[in-house]
Amino acid sequence: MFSIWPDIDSLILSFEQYAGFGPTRPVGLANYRALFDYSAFWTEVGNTLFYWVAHAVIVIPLAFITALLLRSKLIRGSKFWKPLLFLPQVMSVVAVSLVWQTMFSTQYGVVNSVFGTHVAWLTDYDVARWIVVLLLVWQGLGFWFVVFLAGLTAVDPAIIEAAIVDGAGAVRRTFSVIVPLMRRVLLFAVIIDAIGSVSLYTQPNVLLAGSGMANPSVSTLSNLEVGNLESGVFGQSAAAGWLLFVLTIVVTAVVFGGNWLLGGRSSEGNRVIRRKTGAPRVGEGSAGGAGRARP
Amino acid sequence: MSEAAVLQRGGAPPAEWARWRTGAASLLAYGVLIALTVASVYPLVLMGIDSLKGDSQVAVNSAGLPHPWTIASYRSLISHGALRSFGNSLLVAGLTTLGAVFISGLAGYSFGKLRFPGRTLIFACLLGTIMVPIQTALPGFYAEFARFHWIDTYQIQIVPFLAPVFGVFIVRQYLYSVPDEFIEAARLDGASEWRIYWRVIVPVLRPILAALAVLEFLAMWNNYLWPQVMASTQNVAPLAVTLPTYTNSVIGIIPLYGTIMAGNILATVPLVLIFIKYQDLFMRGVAYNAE
Repeated sequence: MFSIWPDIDSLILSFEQYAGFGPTRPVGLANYRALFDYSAFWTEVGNTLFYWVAHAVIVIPLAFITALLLRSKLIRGSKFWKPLLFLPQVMSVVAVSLVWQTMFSTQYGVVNSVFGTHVAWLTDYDVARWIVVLLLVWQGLGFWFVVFLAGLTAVDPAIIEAAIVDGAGAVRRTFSVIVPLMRRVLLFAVIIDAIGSVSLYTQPNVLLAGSGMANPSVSTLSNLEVGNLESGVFGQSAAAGWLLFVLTIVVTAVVFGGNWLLGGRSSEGNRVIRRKTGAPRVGEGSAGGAGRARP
Repeated sequence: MSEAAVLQRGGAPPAEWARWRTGAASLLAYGVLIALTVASVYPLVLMGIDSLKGDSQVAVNSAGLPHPWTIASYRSLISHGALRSFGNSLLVAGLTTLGAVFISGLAGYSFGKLRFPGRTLIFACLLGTIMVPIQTALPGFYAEFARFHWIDTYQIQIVPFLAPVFGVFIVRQYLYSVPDEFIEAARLDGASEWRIYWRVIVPVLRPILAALAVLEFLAMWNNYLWPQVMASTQNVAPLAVTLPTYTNSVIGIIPLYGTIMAGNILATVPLVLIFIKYQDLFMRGVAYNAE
């Protein structure tokens, strides 16, 4: 198939030496070995994982809380807030990264000039990595917020009402009823977000280096791949590309593993969720799960 | 909530205390939302303001309003050939969206409603590719396309994106809500498969295809890694790739921030306009992720 062939082609390339022209030469595992021996490889793998974890632990809960706020009676006019919060999603990623570059630039940046500070937000790498995280949170919030809002809308109001009748307060309602019911959506969000994060490329590069490539101490594994490709080292580039896929699988497995560990304790909730969300586009208004949702 | 309410806290009856608490929570909720909204919107506003400052003014007067207001940045933008890049973005994103929506609809219908050998297996393989990042295929694609001299062309930016697995998947899911009898009836009336697709299926699919179209356009417009590697020459490169390259030709690496901000506006405003017009489609498309 069209979408699988280039992956296979890359796999073959990763065991060969190829300069983009002329013959290819099989080299076995040499490309992989070369990557493992290269210290920047491990730094970039570490950065890739850092960007994923650091932004996910902020953006997923924050988006969830925002969605809860909008569903709650505390807030009016959700039609007004929703598009404004979603706005970062429809802004060009490159454009946004460039705007952030001007906001956080050391000498002339908006942030430093407003606060009268002189922090090297983007050039001190220990700080810069957090600005990348902040950018990822800023961008992802609207997306996951809309996903969670859709998920919350599908939660049967009868269940919530039953919990209120039982005397469950807002916090308890959230953790004992809504979170278990939203479990599938949350798990899905964490996984999709993780898969996307592993192949992060645009934001750290454009924010920290414009049209160039960010320094290995703040860049991701994708940079190693693209860098090798652009200098005509196809074999190592393909090896890096496949390692990226392996990393995706590992990360997904970790998320599933974590979910399984947490899930052991609340099989009751899971059963309700399967009943509620298993069948697509039905269930609104049916009170079937209400009795079971009681913690 | 006023000070009076706070003072009453001690001896207030339970109902009033509850009302006070709800009020405070509401206030806090609004505070959080307002903060998040300001953060969401501010970069767009800054973009607009900075694009009217001119290159040197962006540096010396980064936080304030333009003084004087000038459209020099937009002139400079045009002289950097940004209109060509904008056209490239439009062409690539537009054609890919049309093609991808067409193919997603047909393929989703085939996988959802037609019976053919190996259907489940092929679909499983296709779904498996969602897990594979584009980076994995990149060197393979590059090596292959270099052989047909497709590097730095329009087609290399379009053809590989014509069959989005996500699109095929959501169309297939959506078709589960369409009863088979609906299609059988048309088939009994003697309609050909092709006719059934266009006359019966497409009208049903319209909302999801529209949602898919806006999301596909957005994704293509934002594509950066692919065109940066595959099509970075000025003639065919999209705006996303050329924008960060607008630097001072004399000093070299110093970015021309005014020009870039004007370019950012050019890159962002069309999407924001589409978003304002088709807001519900975006939201609905994204919300499919919750199912």
